[in-house]
Amino acid sequence: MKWMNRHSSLRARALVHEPDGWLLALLTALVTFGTLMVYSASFPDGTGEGALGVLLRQLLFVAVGATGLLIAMRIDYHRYAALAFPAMVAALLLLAALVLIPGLGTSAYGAKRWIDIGPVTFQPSELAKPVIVLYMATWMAGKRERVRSFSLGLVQFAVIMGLLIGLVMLEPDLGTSILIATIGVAIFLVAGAELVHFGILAISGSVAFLTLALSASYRRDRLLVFLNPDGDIQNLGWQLYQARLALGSGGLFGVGLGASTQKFAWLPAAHNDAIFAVVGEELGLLGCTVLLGLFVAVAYRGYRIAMRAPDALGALIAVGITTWIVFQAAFNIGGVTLAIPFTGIPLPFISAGGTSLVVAMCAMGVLLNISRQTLSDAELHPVVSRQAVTAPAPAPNMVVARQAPPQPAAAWRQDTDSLPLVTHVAAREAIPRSHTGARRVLHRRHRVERQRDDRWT
Amino acid sequence: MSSIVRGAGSGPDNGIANNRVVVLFFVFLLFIALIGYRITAVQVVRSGELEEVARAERTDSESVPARRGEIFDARGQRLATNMPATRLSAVLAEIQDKAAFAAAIAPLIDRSAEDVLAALEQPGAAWVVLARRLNPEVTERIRALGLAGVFLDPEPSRVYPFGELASHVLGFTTYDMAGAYGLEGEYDAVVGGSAGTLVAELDGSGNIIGISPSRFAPPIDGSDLVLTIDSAVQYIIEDVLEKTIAAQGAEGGTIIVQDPRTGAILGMASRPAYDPNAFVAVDDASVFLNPAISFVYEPGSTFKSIVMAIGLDDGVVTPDTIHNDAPGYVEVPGFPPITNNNGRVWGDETMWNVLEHSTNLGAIFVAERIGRDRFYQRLTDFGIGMPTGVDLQGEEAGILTLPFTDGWNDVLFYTNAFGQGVAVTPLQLTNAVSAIVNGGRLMQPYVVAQVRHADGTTESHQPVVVRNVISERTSEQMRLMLESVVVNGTGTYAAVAGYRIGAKTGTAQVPSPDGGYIEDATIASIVGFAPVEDPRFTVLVKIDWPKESPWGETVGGPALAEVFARLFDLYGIAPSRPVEE
Repeated sequence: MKWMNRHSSLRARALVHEPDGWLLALLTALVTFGTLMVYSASFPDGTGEGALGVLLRQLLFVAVGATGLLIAMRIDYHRYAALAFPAMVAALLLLAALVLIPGLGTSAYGAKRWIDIGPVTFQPSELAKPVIVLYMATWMAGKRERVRSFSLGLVQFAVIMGLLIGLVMLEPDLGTSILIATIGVAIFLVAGAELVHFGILAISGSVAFLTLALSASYRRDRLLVFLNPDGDIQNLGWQLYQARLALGSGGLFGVGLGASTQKFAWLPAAHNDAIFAVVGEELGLLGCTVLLGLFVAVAYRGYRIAMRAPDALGALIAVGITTWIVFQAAFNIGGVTLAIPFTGIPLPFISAGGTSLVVAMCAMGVLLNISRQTLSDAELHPVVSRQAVTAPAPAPNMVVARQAPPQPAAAWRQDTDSLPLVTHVAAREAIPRSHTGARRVLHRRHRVERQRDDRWT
Repeated sequence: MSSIVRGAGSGPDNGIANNRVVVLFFVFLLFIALIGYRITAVQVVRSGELEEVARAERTDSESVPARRGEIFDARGQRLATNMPATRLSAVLAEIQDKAAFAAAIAPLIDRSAEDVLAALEQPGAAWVVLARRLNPEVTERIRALGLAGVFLDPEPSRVYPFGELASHVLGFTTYDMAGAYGLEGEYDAVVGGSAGTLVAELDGSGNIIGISPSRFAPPIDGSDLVLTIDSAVQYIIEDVLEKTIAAQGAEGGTIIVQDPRTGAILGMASRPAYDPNAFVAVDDASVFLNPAISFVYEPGSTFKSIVMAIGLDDGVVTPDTIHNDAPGYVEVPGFPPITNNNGRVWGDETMWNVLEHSTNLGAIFVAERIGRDRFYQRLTDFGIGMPTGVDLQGEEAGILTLPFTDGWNDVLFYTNAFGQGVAVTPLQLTNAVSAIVNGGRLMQPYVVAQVRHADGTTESHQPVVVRNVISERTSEQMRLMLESVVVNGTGTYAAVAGYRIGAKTGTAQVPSPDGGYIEDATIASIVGFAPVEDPRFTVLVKIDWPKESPWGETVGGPALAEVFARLFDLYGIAPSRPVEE
């Protein structure tokens, strides 16, 4: 395979290294824990499929997700840039088809979120999350300085976001909409948005969501449940009331793995949206803390990868994916614990789920690929490198280029700041490594991406 | 975190604002902190409270009924037992044609079709219970109809195989198997046992959670009762009672048979009675009350036997003391003069004669000799005016107005001497007479001879002597004097050839609620014992409002004689002397 060959050539030049082992370990822990909890929470499953059926299906999705992750880990993330635009078009079309063509979508719980294709159903809104990450990252990496412009930055961003979120809201799916908005805004912020623009966005976004939340009666009721959790425990507040009882029953150390009683038809969606309550009941505060800790660790590793990414594209994709996963977790857990209004989105890696698990694992594969291309501490801190020059014995793994006297940062910054991002990055990276074949490939790719970007923005 | 912070601003200039990534991370941490706060609030602060609520929500405890003990008579006959039965209910929404449904069901459950239809057309009801405690045969016939909307649920039922027999003694059980009246009421806790509980954890759909432990506290079955009541005796007295009531056109009556040696009740019957199997058919709940213990009446002349016993025992009179009742009345200031029955004047009378003739003035003479305070003290010793303590529900105390208490007036002392102005329950009088004839021991009457617990242990009732009221010698004297009443006096109707029987008759007027007495209404009674040489039975016959004859001797006497005759047969008691042909 061609990409494999290229990778091996990259590896030979020490430009691609091992993926982030910590992140991989965290993921393994989360997915294993999730599978265990799905099995436990679905034990009383009354759908006829049975706990074993749910478990086997979950394992199938884990297998698919793991395969996707391993593949994505080996695909250079730069290759996706070309897909950003078509993927966005496809996502918009799918969502539009879902909500606008009657009979295509499958309704459940009063919302049209699923497309039924033969044996499996999948949720286009799950696809909307990676698409918004890829699209916004690619677009803003290309835009660079223009991100700060009002018309080219803020307005265009708002239009694309509005379009996607608008379609998701038509399903309707408020939780996913908020998550997509969060991902988009995070990328926008990190890409260098004007803080004034960010402020405008935050205010208008909040107003929009508040309007949306209050416009539909069922969303208004949900907000009321949040404000007065014990108000209507027989109907609207039932799930969260039962979740509260489950968490409370767990106490400090839980009732023991598998021993939840709330999962027995008391707690609705025990192995889906409300699985955190089962974790809390069975494993107590201890289990909840460990799970929260795992997500904090994922956030830490993910954002760390973003900060060490070799270029803006990688950094923004990493920010997008990390934000997506950890904030989705926070939205879910926050909802179940009444820290925020409950919106009904799954807990990544823990909730039973097909599309969401597979997509999240693939996204993690992409993040891991970025982690393979991050810069080392030595590369990050030229000061250290300079000291290395005077050191008696240079570290053996240092490439010769690093020993060359570094140019004053300000100088090349001034040189390239006005240029397009790719040129800027190329200029910055060309100093030590422009002679390598792999870099040239990358540069070419960036140029292609750049041209595309120009075409459709 | 430190490396993120350290990395801020010093990372590769890959075109992104690293410090904003750090901000993003801290926003997330803040979010997690908020969640941590909420989780702590729920899992630590409110944990106990929420756990309790959750437990209460899913815990269901079901009562497991205990078997109700059976009731046996002294011969081992089942007087009360249990049978599986069925409750018939109708779910209204499932019935297609209510009229046809009612028409089909009604004849099987002894209700009219209109009645059933009216029940089915109750507004707002989802289901109605149409019949309770249906027997298996009827249940099967209803099931065979195959009607939609019919629900037949098993329920326990209490069955009284002898129907009306001893119904006042037995009482009954409600549809909830709760005892009411009589023994069922008095011994409800003993017979009923205690229900067990099954505590299980239910899931949200109401099914038992298989993996959670359920706790079962088994029920403790009720104890069986073995009575002193002999169904054969009971049958005899009910038969005699019914015949007498029918012959006299009376309103009702009571017969009690007591063993004077122990206080055990061998039979206790009253009319009107009811069938405890069909207690729901009774309109007037007062029928449930046992007249032998719950209703009081003026004992009339039967009371003189107690007065005489007290006089003899105190030594203020001897059987041969002469009393002259001239001029034939006693005057109490402010009250009409008191005379003998029909104003008759007997002249000189021994105490034998006073009982034989049932002379009111003679009884007053004895009472005056005893003295007022002593008189009431001794009456109280005999248990007049207080419950006997029999183990049946609903016993009344009777009315004995003590001097200078509420309702007291001076004439009461004189009228009480011949049984007026005092009210007793039939059992109270029977028990007092038993004490007179048994050697002077006032026994506590009882009905339950033995309690057989479910665990196989038994408790037997030991006769209880409440107190000695008269001496053995007085008792012996009284037996002879009461025998003389049957031989020579008002009790001749009670005689049974070959047997020595003692008795005292009484004809009491019925006090009117408005004061005074109801005209033409009497309570004819006679209390007797036999055999005189060794009393085995004390029998009281009391007939309310007889129409043919108002007198105790003519109404009660023959009834008493028949009861005694049949008791002698039943128990194989040999005559005291050869029967003269």
